[in-house]
Amino acid sequence: MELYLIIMLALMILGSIYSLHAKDLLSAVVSYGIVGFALVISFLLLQAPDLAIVQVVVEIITLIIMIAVITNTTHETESKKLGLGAIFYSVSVLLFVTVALLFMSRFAFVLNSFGQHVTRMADNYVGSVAETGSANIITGIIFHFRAYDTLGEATVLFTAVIGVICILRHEELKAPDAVKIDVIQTMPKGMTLVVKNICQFLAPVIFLFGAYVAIHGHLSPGGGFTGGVIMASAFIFQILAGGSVLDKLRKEKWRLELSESVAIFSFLLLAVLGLLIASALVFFANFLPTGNIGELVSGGIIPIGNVIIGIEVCAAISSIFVALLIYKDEELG
Amino acid sequence: MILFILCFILFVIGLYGVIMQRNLIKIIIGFAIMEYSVILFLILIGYIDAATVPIISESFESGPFVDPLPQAMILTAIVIGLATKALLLSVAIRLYKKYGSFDIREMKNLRG
Repeated sequence: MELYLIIMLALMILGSIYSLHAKDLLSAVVSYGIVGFALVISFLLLQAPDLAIVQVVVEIITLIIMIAVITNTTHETESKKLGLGAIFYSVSVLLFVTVALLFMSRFAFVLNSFGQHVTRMADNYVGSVAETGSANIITGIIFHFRAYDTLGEATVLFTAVIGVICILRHEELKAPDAVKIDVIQTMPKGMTLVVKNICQFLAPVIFLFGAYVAIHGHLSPGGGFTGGVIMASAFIFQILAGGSVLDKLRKEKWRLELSESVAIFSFLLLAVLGLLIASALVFFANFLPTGNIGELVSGGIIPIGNVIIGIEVCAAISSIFVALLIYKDEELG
Repeated sequence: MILFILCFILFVIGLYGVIMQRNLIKIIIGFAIMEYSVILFLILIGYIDAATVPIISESFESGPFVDPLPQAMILTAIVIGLATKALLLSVAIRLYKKYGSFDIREMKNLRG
């Protein structure tokens, strides 16, 4: 067990060193993928299937976005000239990094050794499962005990997406007499017919699986965040295989932004409803009956929260991808 | 203990990449490696020997659970990490359009 983890960490270290020193940016990005996928296996070994599911999808989407960014750019990194200043800089950076490592290593001796962790806060959470009615304790923590944190995280996600959309907007288009640089394109290019047809079969199934993971978040590994990422991957899959037309992408982006905003607003509304309806004046109070642990209709507001967060995450990640694609298309056109 | 130290080494490699590399994409990769090492460190701390996944189920006996709190916090952090990485990449792609290179040594023009 510990040996496997050491092997995985060694693989991660090798992959990260190679990706930072690769000459070509594409091979740097691909070997960065090693780090993420080794992390997935480590999560499985460490009894964290929720994290493994979400990490494997997030890693794939990250790689797609990174490769989309570096296509049509200069892949090669410039070779460094070894001047006196560069050598001095490298030596001082190595010294700084070594000192940082030595300071951090002190913590390894202070902490409990691996596997001997003593839970304190989590004991209360595990003990009061009946209060949430959620068989998956992690989902119970996310949407009941730490729901306020989750609201904050959803807001950070929303803000990051707004930031991406603002940065990638073309200012020239807003000028009144600007020439529209739309490519006159009626048929999407996409990939070959085989890929398109298979994708049309697969994308709904992937989407359905994402919805299943989100709805069953309180019973099995998964939840709103995981399901949302899987649903977004179905969108991205469809766009990549089927190709896209710029006008349709703009409409799609508008719809995605709308559904994201509505989702985060309804999450806030759910919290306020708890404050108004429940007798205890608590933000995010669970005002519905919790039911029996292990049934689909149980957990009060937790499944509703899962669905809302699923829609929000799906719309957020899809709109990041669509914004990037629109930017690339307009640049080419 | 050796696992924790390996995790710190991974963090330091990411830090080295952020400080030392001149290519914007590689700086972003360095950030991502630092993020992954922190995530793995928190999950390593929460692991308990011979404990099971923190999900209550009747089909198998639910013994002691691994610490669910770090897992719950990290689950959201992974998704946020994707969005922040996308934000960094969109800044990088804008800079590429302005300067025609990902090399930060080329970016000397301070006027917006």
